[in-house]
Amino acid sequence: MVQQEAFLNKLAKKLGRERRTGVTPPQWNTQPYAGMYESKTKEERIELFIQNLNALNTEVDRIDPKDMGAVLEKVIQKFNIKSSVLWDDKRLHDLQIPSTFDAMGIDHLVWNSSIPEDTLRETAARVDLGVTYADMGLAETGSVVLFNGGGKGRPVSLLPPVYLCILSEDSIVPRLTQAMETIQQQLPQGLPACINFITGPSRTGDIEMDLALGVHGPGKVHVVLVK
Amino acid sequence: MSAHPLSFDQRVEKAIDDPILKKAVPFAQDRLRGGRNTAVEQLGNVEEWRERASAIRSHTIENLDSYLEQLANNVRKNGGHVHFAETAQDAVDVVTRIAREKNAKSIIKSKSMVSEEIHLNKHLEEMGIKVIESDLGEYIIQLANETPSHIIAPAIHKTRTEIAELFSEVAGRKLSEDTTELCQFARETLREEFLQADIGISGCNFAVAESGSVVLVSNEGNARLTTTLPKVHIAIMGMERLVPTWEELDVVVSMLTRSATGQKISVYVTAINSARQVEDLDGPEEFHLVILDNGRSDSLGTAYQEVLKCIRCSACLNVCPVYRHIGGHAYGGVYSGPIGAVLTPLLEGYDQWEELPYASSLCGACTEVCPVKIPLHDLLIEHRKDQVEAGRPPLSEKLAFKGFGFAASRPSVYDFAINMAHKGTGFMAKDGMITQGPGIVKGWTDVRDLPQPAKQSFRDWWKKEGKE
Repeated sequence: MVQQEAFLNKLAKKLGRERRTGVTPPQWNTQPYAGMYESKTKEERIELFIQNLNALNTEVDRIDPKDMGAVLEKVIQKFNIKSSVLWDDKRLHDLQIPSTFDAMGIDHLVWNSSIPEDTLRETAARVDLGVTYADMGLAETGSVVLFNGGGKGRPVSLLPPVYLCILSEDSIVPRLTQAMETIQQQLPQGLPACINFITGPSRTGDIEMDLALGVHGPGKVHVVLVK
Repeated sequence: MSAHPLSFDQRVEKAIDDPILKKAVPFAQDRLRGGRNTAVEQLGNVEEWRERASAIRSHTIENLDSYLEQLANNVRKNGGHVHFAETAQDAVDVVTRIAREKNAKSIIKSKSMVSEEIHLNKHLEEMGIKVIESDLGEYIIQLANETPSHIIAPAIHKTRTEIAELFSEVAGRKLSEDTTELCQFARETLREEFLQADIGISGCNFAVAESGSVVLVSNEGNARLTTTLPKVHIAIMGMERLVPTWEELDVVVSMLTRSATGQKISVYVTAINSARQVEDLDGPEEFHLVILDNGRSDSLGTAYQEVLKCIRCSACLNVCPVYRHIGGHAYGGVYSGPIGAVLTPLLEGYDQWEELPYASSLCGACTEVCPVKIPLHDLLIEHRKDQVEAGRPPLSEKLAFKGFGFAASRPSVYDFAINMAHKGTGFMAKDGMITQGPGIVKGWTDVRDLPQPAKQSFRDWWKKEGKE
């Protein structure tokens, strides 16, 4: 703390004034993004979300909850999936994803505390597919927002080569701004250890600016919007 | 820092004679600049965005003591450890101490310019610790034992043939030059390193004071792996890299990714708010935040304070005619391009870096493109002025002429600079007259208006029409 005080006092001195504490940012009366997408209807926002992801090599299905099984079948075929790891998330259980995997003979593991951590990690590093539910989608960018924690493990959307993200089409908001507001509303209860915004597959241009997918994170992403 | 083995002149000559750079740098510049222009234009009201981003950064810097205190308090409240490091050595000491306490054998890193600045890898390796860079570009230059030549595309100077050779050596077998195969090899090799690393070290694109969060922007996902898999996470931030709240984060993240690569958002934006929490089954058990000054505070309260607004997007590199010609290494420091020419002498003094403020044609394109409105080329002139005042006039004049001579004697630099200036002056012009000029025209426009240059320069017109 002595170090902190000396450090901060030096800054105040260089700034030519007394130490300040408890400063709050100015009230910005207008925002550069004001109304950027707010005039769009829900349908237009969903369209924009899909377009943005399609432009990033990511297919989006819009389905009725009862068609989840058929979409899973398609994803399994498309990416040649044999094994999977899933969030322990009520919303995934409600869509009967674990039981559908059982029926399809897909070897899978649900991320929860009944399983030793080492096993969870080794499984996530080995399987073909990770499945999560997203709390929000951003129309402007095609991003999905994940509030990780507990049964919602970060490695699920990160280690496997293919990532399937499911979200409700009602949760598509105009842009980053609405996600920031949601996060700020959660501040009194405390934030989870990690919040992710994910927009399409992992990419790099570090070899002669040549685009390559999946150098670290999943190189293949599939998104399902549930009505 | 030890002196660069080559003088500025030697570095420039070496770069200009390099046939690979001659192709690779303009190619990368054009791609990144084109992407940036499209992404920024999509915003519609780009000036309003830049104004706001600039205002946010200025406000934060002006109240840096208060926001850093708030940040530190919140990180501690969330169970993290905060270390204030006044010098590079202080930061190195903190990291090496943690490494020793944890008995670390291997450390995985995601891209961090600040860690380059303090030469962290060298110090850790001297302790016998294996340090692996995980950003693909950083991994390539680590294998080649080189330094980054671009802030966000560190290996643009390497060809695929060279990369295939470097990777083949690690693999112990011959790899093809195919991008997919090379990336697959990097994925598998680095994944093993991630799974066994004891500590993950990341940089910090922005910290958020109100919640004690560290926000990382990445496309590959290596920043996520670095902050998820090892038991200990150390984030190192330049002391100015924070915003007050998530509301301000929105604006600066939007401007950063658009200005850097032309993406509306990067593939991953990751907010680390604490070490793992009670119910979590993954994530580091310990979180450390190192807040580094290393000479930055010397710019506070001076003409250079605005340089601390920088969000390291590298848009200024991608429009710079001098960078285009000489690439990143010729600048000699960790930061290259116009921002490097302004920043390096501030962090490390004039003795070794007196030529850098002359590595510019003062065309003003950097200032025009900067998403947080740092008057970069004004600051280069400020440096020249300060050098004169510090008793270095003979060299300054010599170099000033040389600087002009350098640009004027190479038609491609001259053309690019003129071209940028024509487009660049658009936003300052009212009714076809420039009333507030930057840099070299400032002395003129202080007392009278300067006619706006024609959209097409005479040289361009002559090339197209004049010869017929």
